Amino acid sequence: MAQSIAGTHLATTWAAPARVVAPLVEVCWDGASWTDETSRVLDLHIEAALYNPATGLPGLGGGRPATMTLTLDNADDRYSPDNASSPLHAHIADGIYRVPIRVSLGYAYSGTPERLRQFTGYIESPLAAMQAGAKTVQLACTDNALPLMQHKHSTALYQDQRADQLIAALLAAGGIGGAVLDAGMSVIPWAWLDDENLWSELQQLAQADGGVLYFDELGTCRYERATHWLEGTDHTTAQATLDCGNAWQMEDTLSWRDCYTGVIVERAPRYLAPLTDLYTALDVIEVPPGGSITEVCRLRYPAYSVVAPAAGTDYQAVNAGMAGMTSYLTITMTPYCQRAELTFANSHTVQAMYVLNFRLRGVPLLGDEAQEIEEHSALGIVPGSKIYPLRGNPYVQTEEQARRLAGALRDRLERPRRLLGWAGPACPWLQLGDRVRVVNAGAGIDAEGYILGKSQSYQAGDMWEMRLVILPAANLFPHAPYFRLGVSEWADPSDAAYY
Amino acid sequence: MLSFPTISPVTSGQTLGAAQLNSYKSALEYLLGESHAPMSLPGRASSVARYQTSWGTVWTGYLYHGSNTLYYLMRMHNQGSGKVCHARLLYTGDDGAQHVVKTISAVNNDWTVHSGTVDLSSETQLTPGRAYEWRWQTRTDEETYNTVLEVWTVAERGAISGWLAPPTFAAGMSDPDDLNTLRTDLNLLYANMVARTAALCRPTAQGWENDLENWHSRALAVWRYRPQRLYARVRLRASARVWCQWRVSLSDQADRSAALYTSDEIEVFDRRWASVTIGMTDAAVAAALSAAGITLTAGQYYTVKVGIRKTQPAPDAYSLDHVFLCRLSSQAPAAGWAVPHLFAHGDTAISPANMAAYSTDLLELYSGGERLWGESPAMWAGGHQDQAYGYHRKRWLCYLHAEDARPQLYHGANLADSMDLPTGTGWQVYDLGQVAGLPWGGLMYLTGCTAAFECDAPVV
Repeated sequence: MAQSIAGTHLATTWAAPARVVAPLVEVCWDGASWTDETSRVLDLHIEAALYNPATGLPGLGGGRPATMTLTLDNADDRYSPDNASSPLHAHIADGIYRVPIRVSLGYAYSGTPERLRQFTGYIESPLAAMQAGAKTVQLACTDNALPLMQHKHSTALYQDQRADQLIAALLAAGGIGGAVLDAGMSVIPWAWLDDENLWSELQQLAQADGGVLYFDELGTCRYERATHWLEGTDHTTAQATLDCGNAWQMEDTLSWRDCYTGVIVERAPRYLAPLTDLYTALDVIEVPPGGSITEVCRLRYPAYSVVAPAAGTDYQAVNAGMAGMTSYLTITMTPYCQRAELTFANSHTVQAMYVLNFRLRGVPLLGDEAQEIEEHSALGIVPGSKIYPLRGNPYVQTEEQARRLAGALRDRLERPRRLLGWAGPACPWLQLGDRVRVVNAGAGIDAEGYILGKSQSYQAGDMWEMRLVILPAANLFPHAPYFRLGVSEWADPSDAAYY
Repeated sequence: MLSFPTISPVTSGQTLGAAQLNSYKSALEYLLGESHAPMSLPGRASSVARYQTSWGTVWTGYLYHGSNTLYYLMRMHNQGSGKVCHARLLYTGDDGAQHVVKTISAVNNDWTVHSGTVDLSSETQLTPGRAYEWRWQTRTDEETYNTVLEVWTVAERGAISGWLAPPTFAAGMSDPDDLNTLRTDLNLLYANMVARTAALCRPTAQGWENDLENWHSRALAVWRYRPQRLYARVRLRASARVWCQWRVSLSDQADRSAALYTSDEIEVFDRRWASVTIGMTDAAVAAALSAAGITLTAGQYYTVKVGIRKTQPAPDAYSLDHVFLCRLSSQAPAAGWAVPHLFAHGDTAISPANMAAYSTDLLELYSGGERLWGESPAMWAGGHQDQAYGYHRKRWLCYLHAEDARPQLYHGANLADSMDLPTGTGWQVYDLGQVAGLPWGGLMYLTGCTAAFECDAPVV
């Protein structure tokens, strides 16, 4: 959604023939306070997109955090880890990695800077360079998704949760707060993580619900469901008019690559199976006298429930002479869905304990045969058959999910989509997904569309340029106006039902 | 296996989709299907008399625990002695001990019906998802008379807490709360009023007879009446060759009895199958019930009996076995049922009338002509017929196999295919999805089991 420009003159300054760019680059070196590094900025480049050219329109919303490259003047070795005299030395002696950074840009109005945040994230890797005697450092930065991208996590089994509920739980596990999440459109019957990457799981959850998940310029995680562009003002009303008067370049690409005759969506239902062995220890578990050990047991199947191990049924605890030691054994279990962490404690102060034939029983959650939903276009635009398959998302489990995904993707992909490109002075308030109006009278274009991609470039003392990739709204939601609760009336005829 | 649809909650401003609307339809139709499901009639015990002054078991049954409302129905009398009859209902809990939930003491000189509900919520030795042994026990105050007990049913029933009045959909602004009310109520009905088990029919059926013309009752089952049909399937037996008839009759709790069906004379060489589907609203049946003074009321309990007699002189003995009694439906919904609209993408029929159909049908299922009971009856362990019959409705078969018996499952065309079931100590669980040739809704029967039922989830 477009950032608020209330109380500013940005709409005027953006449209003015001459502009004074007002940058602000801040770095949180000490983890507590922000340091203004603007005076050392040589250039910066920010890329943010819902659209990945590699995956095309079918992969809308999938997997790309925003990135920034920032070049700073390092003539005095301020940013050099080996410079013990640097005021930053205490914080960068081991290098610069995952240091918070935020960038705001705007225009000056009567000498007063008016800015909006354009990037929030972390410095990921610095590259020191020297060229023509000038020392610089180039910082590669990633948005607030970075902490999640290598974060492995395991959970218990979630049952009957919406996508947004699961996303909220995973974000909390990753230490991310303040997310803005649309209520998911479907309930996902079963979900869990087993040492899996939080970021990729979040993307799959979003995809399973037909939505998109990303971190915005302010560092806020957003989940926008499939109908989000039908619901918010920033997506139903143009937030800016982009025309030749304010453009340096306009492009128009008609993409047949992303045009298909039909879509197949695969779903993977699951069911509860009879009680069975979920884990069997191959080795004897030796517990020292007066001590404890912890075992991580990976289960054969995802577990709906795990039975607390019972002596005689699930194990025997003995000493080396096979005398019973059950009374000295305490087992503490922390079950996850596909693993269990067990701590075995031996209260005998002299005898070592051997736990034999240990097993864990429980009710497994098994996968049923995958089912497919197909939706085909009646438009006949593409000759022959060209089918887009969406498979392998474990969170697509119900027929309702699959039908919605198949229908929405079919609508998106059944026509060749024109992608409009616009390049001009940066419009500070625009965000991904915002609706804009693109006018190119000479080419006969006057269309409203959604921002799929946004890149910005700034050079110190020079212009601040923005390039946008825009997906026209026409025929994207073919039956608009759609029925909205609290906005539409129970009537005959009514507004149209979505999928 | 059919799954109840997962219904998403909605919020203000949300775009309403056909999938969302159709989830209400699917849920209503799922529940309607449950209302019209075939229901095997559980076997009913004969009466048992005891004169002892100590408590003793007269009835043992097995019941899956999924609800906190227990219903019992039994009849009791003291043979006209004017003395006190004592009966109590108890179960064997997780701790292995017996826990009494109901004790009844009464001077019943004639057959007297005792029925009611027991709240199990405070029973700490019952775990949801497990099956338990239940018993009726009786005693007297002195050994000069009998307490006679006739158990009709012990069952768990569904109960709803938090029901919201279905919304009224008038022309005008839509409200997400109305749809969330539908969701709440549909989920309440599914969670509480759809039985998680499907009983199998194993009525009393024993003994050979040899006399002529006298009717002999050979099978007893209990029917908590739900319209509209009764299916009966039997195998007539002859030690060599007899001419005989069989009949199906229905009795109420006051011992009024009406013959619903009497077969023609049938010649039986060794064994012969026979079946009938009785329309409970057919004119002849209605007349028989009326003549007997029986009023059929949905939700009331009746005994169904199957009898046999020899019709021509012959030295050979006769009997019947493989008795299967089952409630069937004509599948016609109650008069008040409104067929929900099937929405599609782009549909502009989100009208007050189409939305109101959801509320109408909810009320039918909650308190109207399609009212759900969520009742799971116990299986009486004393059923003498070895075969336990049922239509395959749930995924899991949970059973206790009899000692020294080999449990077997019969299915397929003419029930000619058989397979051995696993044995072991305690409740066994078998995934019927593994049985090739046993379709959903297919007829099957078990042998060699003390108790058995189908279940939505494995017994824990």
